[in-house]
Amino acid sequence: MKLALIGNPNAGKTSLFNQLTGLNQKVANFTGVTVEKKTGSFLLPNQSKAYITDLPGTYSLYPKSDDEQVVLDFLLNPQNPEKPDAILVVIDASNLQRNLLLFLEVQSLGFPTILVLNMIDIAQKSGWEIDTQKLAERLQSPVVCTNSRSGEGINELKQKVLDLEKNKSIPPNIILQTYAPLQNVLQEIRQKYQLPNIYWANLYFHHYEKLSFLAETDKQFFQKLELKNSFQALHLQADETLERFRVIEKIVAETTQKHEKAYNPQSITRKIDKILLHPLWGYGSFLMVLLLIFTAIFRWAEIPMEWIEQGTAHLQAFFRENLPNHFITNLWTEGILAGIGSVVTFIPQIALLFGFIAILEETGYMTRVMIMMDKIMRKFGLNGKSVVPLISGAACAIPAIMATRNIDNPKERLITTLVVPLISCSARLPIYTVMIALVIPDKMLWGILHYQALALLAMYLLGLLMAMLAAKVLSRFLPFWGNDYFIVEMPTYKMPRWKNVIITIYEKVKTFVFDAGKVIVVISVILWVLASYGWGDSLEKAESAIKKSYPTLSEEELTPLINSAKLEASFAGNLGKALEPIIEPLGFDWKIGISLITSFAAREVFVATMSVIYGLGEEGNEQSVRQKMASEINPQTGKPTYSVAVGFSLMVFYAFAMQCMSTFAVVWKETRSWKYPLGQLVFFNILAYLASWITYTILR
Amino acid sequence: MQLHQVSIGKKAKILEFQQRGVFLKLLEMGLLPNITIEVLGKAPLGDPIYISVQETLIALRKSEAQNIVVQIIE
Repeated sequence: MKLALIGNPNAGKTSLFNQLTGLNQKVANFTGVTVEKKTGSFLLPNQSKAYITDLPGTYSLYPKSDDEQVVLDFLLNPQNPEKPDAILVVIDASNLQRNLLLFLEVQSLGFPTILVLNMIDIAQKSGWEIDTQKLAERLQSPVVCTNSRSGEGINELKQKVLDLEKNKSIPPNIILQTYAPLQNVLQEIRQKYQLPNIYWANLYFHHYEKLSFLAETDKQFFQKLELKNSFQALHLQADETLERFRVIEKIVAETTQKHEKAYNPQSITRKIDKILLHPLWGYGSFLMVLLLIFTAIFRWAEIPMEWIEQGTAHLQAFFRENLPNHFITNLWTEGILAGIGSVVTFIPQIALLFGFIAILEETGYMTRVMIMMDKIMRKFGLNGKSVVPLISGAACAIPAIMATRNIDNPKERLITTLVVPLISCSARLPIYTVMIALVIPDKMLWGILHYQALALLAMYLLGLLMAMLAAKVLSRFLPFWGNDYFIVEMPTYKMPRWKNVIITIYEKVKTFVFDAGKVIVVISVILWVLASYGWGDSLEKAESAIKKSYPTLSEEELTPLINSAKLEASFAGNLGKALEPIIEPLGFDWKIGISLITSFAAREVFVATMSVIYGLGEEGNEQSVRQKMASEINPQTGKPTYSVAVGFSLMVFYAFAMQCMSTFAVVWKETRSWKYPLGQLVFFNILAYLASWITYTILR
Repeated sequence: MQLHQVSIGKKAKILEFQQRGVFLKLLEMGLLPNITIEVLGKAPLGDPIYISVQETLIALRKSEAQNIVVQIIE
């Protein structure tokens, strides 16, 4: 039995889905779009399996966003392999009037339905008395009352599904007055496409332009039909909605009674909103929330991340010692294991960020964030919800980009995804600190402001400014799609359901590891090959040359020098040298060139690479690398290589450049397209180059 | 009078809508002609505003509220 779950946003649909399926669920994307699709299964009372698809929340079958479009496509597509046998329509029992609109539309399509009156406890507490039997008769559909928070009514729902499987009652075919004048045209469409009924034909007519499964010839057919009949889509949609609401009003009056009760589910929410949307307390508390999230992904996540890094290092050492010294061993330890290690390192940050985001969504606070930030973010073509990814981006772009999923408007989501990597993440911090310590004096300005701290702050602000500027530019140039309005329902404040929070974290981590993860491992292997192999026997030659030049040195003293020479002779070394003429205008030499390439594994690798190049071994710490860099003299000018100009030029380059394989992978995963991550790679690196060149030219 | 002009705490009845595009979205959110709404407050920067309609809270921008013609009832 195949089912689909449909309902208004905030009707408790996701909770109900989680109650039904538990962890028997899979998250994927609907074909062609980045709208999340959850499928799952559960057992019916007779032990047969039911498969269920959770459709995005929607208010009607007249879509106004990508998410809602997906629902329509799913229901109407004749080739949909998951085409449901029946539909569960989930409704907020306290708001029958508005919620029944979607139910009636779904029923008009001819699907057998079950009406799920969810959050029945709140409805009863606030004085609603619903005669479910009468409602079932009136709607000609089974009705079940549930409380998806406690799980009440779930067994009854499963029983009703089984009953429906045995006795599929096709709902009545009611023809709306609105469409009476269009009968003939709709019949024509119905016959041409072999559709079950007129309403189905009507939805084809309204939405043909956007239905993914219709061919160009079909669209032309509808265009002609539209002209011939002077079809006024918006007008008809409004008339239909109003007609349905008149029907609903009658049904609700006949089947429900509202008793005056002291309990108003809104009253607490209204009071909390007075504080959380207050000009002072509102922003104050939001700032505290952001600070908490930031501390968590910046500081708390560091502890398990360190364990993972150490664990990976131990594993690598273990295999290196116990496996024969062979290409395959090296490939496994230095390429694949290192790649898996870097994938796993992101898990703590992703888990923490999504834990917080799930709590913000569950409690209803996220909607308030949107409301508070709308006016500011809208100016930059962003969404109120973009704030969370942008701030998280200062810790790491990976979880931040994954967090853009929560933005409903596709254009605003894409812009946020594209600009997040410009925010200075924590991996840039080691580069900033090394370079600042190298070129900025450790002195105070006016006795209170530390020059080095000011420089660091300037780098962070530069990233933020560029991200906002890029958003503004992108919002001008990207084609307009989606809707430019802001009409959102504010859910009442609720305690988070921890089960939902945990499922969210689990799903996010899983999709990251198995989706973006494979791209990261592949790139990691490529980078390893670049840095460990060279043309022919160039590496062996480099090694023997070093041994010849320093015959008196011990093995231990030789190793760092050999490693340095090997890296210089490797593909990466060759590339770095080939890059030199290109990056010379920025004040960079081939050594920085190599580091720019290896930095693609993760920006902080810059320090380790410089350490190897300077013969300090991989364990060279920031301080010793800095000392070595400080004593480096430019042979042409006779002055220190790392001048203020080079220092800033390099920092600006790192601030803007897209040089992180994991960001690349996650952007690919989130946009389902190579176009966007490749675009970032090209544009951000050009931007970095130009900005760096300007910096170097001005400062030198 | 239009909805964005109603002051906080006041109740009003919806009379009609001026723009078709947003009209449908508003209808689906439960903002129907003849229904009573209450303006509850506004975002810290003055926009969007939020209102109570048929037991739900809805936030909308002032530019959208402009399309809704209302009559104050209390």
